[in-house]
Amino acid sequence: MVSYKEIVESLENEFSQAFDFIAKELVWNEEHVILCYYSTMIDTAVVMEQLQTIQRKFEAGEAEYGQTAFSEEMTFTIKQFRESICNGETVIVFPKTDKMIRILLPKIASREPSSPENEYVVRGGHDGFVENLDVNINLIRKKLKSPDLKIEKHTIGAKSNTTVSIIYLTTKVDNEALKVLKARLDRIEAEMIYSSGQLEDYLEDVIWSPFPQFLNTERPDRAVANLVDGKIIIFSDSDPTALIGPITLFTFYESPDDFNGRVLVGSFYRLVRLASFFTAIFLPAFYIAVVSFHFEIMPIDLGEQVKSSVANIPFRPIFEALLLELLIELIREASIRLPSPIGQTIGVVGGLVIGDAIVAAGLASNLMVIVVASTALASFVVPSVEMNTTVRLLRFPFMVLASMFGFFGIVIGSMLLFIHLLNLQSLNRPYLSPIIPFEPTKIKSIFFRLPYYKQVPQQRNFYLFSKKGKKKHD
Amino acid sequence: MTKWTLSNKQLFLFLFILQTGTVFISVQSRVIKAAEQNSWLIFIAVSLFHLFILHIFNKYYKYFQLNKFEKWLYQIYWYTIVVTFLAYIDFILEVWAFPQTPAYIVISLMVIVSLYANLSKYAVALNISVILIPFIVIFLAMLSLATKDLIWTNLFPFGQIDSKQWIDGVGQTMYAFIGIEAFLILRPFVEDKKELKFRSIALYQLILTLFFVITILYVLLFFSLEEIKIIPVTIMYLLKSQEITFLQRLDLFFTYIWMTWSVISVVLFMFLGLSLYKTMYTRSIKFTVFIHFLVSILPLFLITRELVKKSHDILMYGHYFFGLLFPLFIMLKGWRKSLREKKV
Repeated sequence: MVSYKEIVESLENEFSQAFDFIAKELVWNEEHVILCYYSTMIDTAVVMEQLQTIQRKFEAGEAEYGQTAFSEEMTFTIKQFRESICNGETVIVFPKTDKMIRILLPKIASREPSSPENEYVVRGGHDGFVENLDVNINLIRKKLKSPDLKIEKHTIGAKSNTTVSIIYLTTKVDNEALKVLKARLDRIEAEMIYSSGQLEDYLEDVIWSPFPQFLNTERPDRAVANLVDGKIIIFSDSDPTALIGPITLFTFYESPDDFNGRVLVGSFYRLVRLASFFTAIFLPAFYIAVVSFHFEIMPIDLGEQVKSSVANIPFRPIFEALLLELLIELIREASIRLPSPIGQTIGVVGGLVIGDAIVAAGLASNLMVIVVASTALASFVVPSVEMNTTVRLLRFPFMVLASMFGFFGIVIGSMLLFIHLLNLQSLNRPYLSPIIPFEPTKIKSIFFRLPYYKQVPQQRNFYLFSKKGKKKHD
Repeated sequence: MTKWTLSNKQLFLFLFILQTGTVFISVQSRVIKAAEQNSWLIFIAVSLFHLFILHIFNKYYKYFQLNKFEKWLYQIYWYTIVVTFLAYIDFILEVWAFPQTPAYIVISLMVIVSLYANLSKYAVALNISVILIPFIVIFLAMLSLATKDLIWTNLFPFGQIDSKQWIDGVGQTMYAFIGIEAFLILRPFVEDKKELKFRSIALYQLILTLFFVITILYVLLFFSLEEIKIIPVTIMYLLKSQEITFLQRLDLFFTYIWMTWSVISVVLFMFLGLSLYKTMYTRSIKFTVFIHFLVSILPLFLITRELVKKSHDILMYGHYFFGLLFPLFIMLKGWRKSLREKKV
């Protein structure tokens, strides 16, 4: 039993420095009770109404006076008390009976669901997740009215007490992947979890890989499509980003627009996006290799034009490329940090004015500007910010390899990259599926938006993919 | 024994890349020089013989039980193949792509790819060949550009094969089937040890034969016999002669496709060797690194025209022994042992 003195001491020790912490002693039927809450985290009118209901029941001598639709009665513990207050709940402590009642009506600040700025679509829903878990679950339930939808809560972070929710469809989910995810969540030993990015670090299979192993989205339609596919969604409270896993490399190249548009149009743009993956990584490296080592590969007329373009440049092609690539990165960073009207101006100034000036000053060739600009465009085509940054990062080692060994360097680098991708897994599931393990029948769904959204479960291991294996997993 | 399985498709893709790997650019000249217009007929005959061998392997693979000494023998054979192939790849790259880059750098970089793949999980080596599927199509498309320049009369006369052509032709054709013994190593791992039908094996052999016969026919019909006698890597010259709007040197692209193909076949041979090693001892990172270091050093002593040619000739004899005779002998031994055990 906790004494009245202990409770008061605990309140003084832990909450005396918080100006918004309110503790009031009340007398109900001659019994002293303590009412505690953060004034900034409750809706006073709503809580007062609930409080009056509980007080009425208490004074009427009802047995379970603390149990209402929005309140819960339990034995008092300092730990639970602390947690409830920090979560924005209102707590009534009954020192005499060693009980406490939690009024579960915190007021969490939240913005309205609006279209995510980093995942625009032409057609389709324009709502997006916000920094409130309840709103996000509401958005998912609005689109997926299924009793199969299961939401599990885990509390992580000794200090932050972050609520992490995992959401899945019980009839579709890959149970092995779910088990892996839960085990990884249980293993997390951190004081503070404050963002989905931090959570991703704990949950990924290979943290040092440049490739993201969870799909990040703020779009409810994308999240729902993945749930139906048997994927798992992970939310941390106060973060609008949903982490989706297990995923494959090709998931990053699918956009909700594919399924909102016409079949042929969707398929065409899917192919364009996949081609952009190779363009974004290899184009500058290819150009450097050609200019530095393999001039003879070009037809004579073209070769002469290229030669005259690069003849008066004082740097080696790799330095020319690095200069322009770094400039592009600077422009990108600057335009992200600034308000959008100024950001656009920076884009124009950086792209046109500086680009033109660099060529006029003879520091870079026209062709290199074209190559670097095309590469930047190709990298921005990816409908995922994480994959976009990965692709932009990867082109640098390839540029260095191309400048050292020409095509040979690119080939060796590509093979190492391919082996890395072969090794990679998302929640223990092959990252390159259905290319590896090779499943010819499923490959068309990578390149084409098929006439209907056919759910093809992701391959669940590297070895078994006979008819028998499929049946076993399906 | 390590726990991994592979499907039929993986087995045959593994075998295809292993067998075509490095040799598919040089086998045409060798066979045509030996059997002239009858080269493709002899190739088909030898291929039928190997189909029979594969059938035997498939039927009696359970008796292919290697002891420690035999396992070491096979490992040495495969590592020797890798050394020979690496020397050949560097030789070709030096002639066609970059004469300035030191051999030790080129070979080390290729070996690093194999080391990375073989230090990774088994699935990597078993699936890495998939990357080559589009390259096979691209290679055949490149080859088809020469169709308009083929001289069909170069095919004639054919059919009258003398004994010298038979002996030389069969000898040189064997070169295309190096690595067939990998079937016996991988067969027990085919999913649930299920039955592999003769039809599947025949289909695989048909695809392999078609691939080689098409390249032999293109070379035969594109060049005259006199030209073939003086051109060492005919496929390269054939592609060099092709002109397309946006590329002057088609052969250079092909060189890199072939190099990728070859490096992957090196990965597969190393995988075979290391997987046998792992059956005797536990998986050892130290040994994997050591053997890769060794195969990156040894080719440096072979990179001359004469030594490359000689080492390739020796490989054919290796194939006679390790690909045909030795497996049959071990299966016979295993069969007799099982009979004895049954009697007991």
